[in-house]
Amino acid sequence: MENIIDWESLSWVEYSSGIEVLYLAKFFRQNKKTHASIVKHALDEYRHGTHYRNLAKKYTSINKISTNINLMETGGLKNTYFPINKNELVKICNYLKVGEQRAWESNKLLIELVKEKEIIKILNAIQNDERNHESGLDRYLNRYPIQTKLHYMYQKIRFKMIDLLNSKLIKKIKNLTDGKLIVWVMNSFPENSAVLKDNDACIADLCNNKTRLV
Amino acid sequence: MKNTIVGISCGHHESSVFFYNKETGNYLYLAEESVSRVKGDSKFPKFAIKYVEENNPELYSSVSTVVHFQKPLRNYLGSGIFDIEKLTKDHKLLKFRQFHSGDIFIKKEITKNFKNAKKIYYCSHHYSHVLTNIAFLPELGEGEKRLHLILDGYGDGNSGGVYLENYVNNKYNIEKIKSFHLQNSLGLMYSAVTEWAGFTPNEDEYKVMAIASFGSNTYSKIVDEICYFDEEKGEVIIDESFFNFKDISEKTYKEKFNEYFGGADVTNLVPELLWGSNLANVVAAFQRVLEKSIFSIIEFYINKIGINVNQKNALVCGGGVMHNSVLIGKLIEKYEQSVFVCPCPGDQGSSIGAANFGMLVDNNELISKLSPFVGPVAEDLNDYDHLFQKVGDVKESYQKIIELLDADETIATYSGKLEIGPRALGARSLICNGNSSKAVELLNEKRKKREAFRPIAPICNKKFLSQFIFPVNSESEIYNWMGAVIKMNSVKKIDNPSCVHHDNTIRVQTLMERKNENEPPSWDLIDKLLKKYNFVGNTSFNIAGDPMVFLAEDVYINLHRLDLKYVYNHGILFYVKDVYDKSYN
Repeated sequence: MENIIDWESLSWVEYSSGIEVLYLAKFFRQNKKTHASIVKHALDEYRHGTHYRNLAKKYTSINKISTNINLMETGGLKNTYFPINKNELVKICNYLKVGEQRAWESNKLLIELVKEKEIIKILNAIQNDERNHESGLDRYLNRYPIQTKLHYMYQKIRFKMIDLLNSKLIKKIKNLTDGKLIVWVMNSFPENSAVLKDNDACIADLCNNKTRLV
Repeated sequence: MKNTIVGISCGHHESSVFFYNKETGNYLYLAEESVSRVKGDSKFPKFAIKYVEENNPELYSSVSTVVHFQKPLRNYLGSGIFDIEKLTKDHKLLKFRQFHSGDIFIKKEITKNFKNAKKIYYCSHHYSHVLTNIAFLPELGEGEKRLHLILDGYGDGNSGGVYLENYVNNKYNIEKIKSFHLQNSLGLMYSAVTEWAGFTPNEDEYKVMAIASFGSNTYSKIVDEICYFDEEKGEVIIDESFFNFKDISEKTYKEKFNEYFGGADVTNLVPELLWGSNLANVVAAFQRVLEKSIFSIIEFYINKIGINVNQKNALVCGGGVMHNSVLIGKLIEKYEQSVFVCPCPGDQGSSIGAANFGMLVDNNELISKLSPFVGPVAEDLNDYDHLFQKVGDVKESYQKIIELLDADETIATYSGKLEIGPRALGARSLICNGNSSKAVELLNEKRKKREAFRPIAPICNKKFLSQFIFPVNSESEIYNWMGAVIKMNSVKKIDNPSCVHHDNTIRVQTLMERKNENEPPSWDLIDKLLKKYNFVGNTSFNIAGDPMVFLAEDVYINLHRLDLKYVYNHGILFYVKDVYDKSYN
């Protein structure tokens, strides 16, 4: 079973989460106690990422795609709200809270699937961390009960929509329709209309054409 | 008064932003990855801009002009649009997505992030590289000229060019002599070889360069036919049948490459197994052909234009290919101080070139003589006493550092203005006693988890270096930012071979004298340490695959992840609190 779990994707999701929590920490610098606990939260996420990465190296393989693409696409960092303003903290904490809950559910499933005791031990520890992180976020969100209720519901729906858009069927339909349309558009594009004007023979030419896109 | 010019580089590799205020002379460089914490972040640098807005509001609010480092539409149309019928459906789909997510609509992003900027300019990609070099050089004197050779993967439809900068009869000019065709991209060729070798293209080229030194010339003859300099055309020609530089949905090398060179085995990259391996032989052949091609280009244009190679900095190289420190070392051996490569020759540094273009257009002036330390000042860890604990005062800190280094421990430095470019120059470094093999190996393999075939680069002073590389002159500025690998002579050996590559070369950083506050205070510490150790082991303060540390939180996270305890910050040593409980590791 260990060989078919996508440990690498899990590691990128955790690294991405670590990055987001690190962004959050910078908003709580004035409150040293809260700040320290958020920084530790970020450290936990990075550490989870390392655990999953080690498992990926042991049981599966690591894709040779850039860190940038992995974090954005696989880790889902492209859906992040950051950078944010201070007045968006309730929204962000709810976004992270739903993320923690999803991580907990996914880990629960993994614990049921894997056989190796050592891995179960690690997953249990991660599970424990996820619960602590959620309670940490709750301690802040409890100060804003009404806003939290609304944002929490919105984030639940948002994540469902992201899952739906990432489902294989939807992706396939999207690629198919996009593909046909784009191939048609690009094939009917008259190539000579895209002839490049590269007439910056000297810096004076370039200065004269400073606002030109081509 | 609004008089700040901002240069922006994004879309290809690491994005960055550079602010320059003409009136005050204040400047600030920031790579997006430093703030976004995504290694190689190529998106529009909104995190970096937000950081400047919050931490340097005066500079941010005085922005009058924003300059993008390339011509967006020229860049889009320059690749994968011609011969469209022959390209795959996936390519067309990706190209379409590039259209609406690429920098064609950059004006929208610029106006959103700089609401008060009145002017937006677009500089050409390779001119931005030229102007970045110029920002690190002294101004040209009357009658002087410099040859700029720019070589990268791709930009504005080309893969590089040759430019002549001259100042004659009180008239300054930069003239384009030659543009290199995209199909003949030496940068993309090297990336393709990186991909073939099983590494991540556009990220791991330095590993390929290191492995090349283990190879023999088995494939030299074949590779010389694949890539060669054509004197008639004045450019390098690369055989299209081996590479794919057009279809972005496919691998960058073609099946023919595998037919000629077989597969690469990267399962066990230990030096003993790398010697004479197929992997090493193939990459060695491509490293050699890269060097040979660049020497040919330089010779050809030096003769054609008539460049005085005895003039300091007469031959200036830029573009991502110039990150190849083995190549630069060989250029220094031949051209000595006439060759110059700035500390950030790749696209990450092009925001500086873009801002320089804005200076030229708006003020008819150029930025010059920048130091590599152009980033924000490292935070004071005294403000984070909940995360770090002071070890003692300056004197006590120094004593503790010596105690730690004598015991082969590693300490981190986070001090002064942050450096530009991919290499840690002492401001954000991990350092150890460079004379101790044990300390160097511990730092390299255990902490940084680097492959054994890549020893860490040490810091030493110029006088000390000159003993080992004589007759090559140790005065080149490029050594100041670790830009060159240099062959050591066989007469005098250094005490610790752990810093020396197996082919008797060394990538060293020479310590500059600390002239002003731009240079990090940690140099004073390193200077003291060099009197005791001759060499100080130095590598970047980050985990492999992460950007270098930037803020105090990053320092805390990275110290724990690297299993380190001490950090040197503005003259004081700090202990990181609450070392992580490892009970379930």
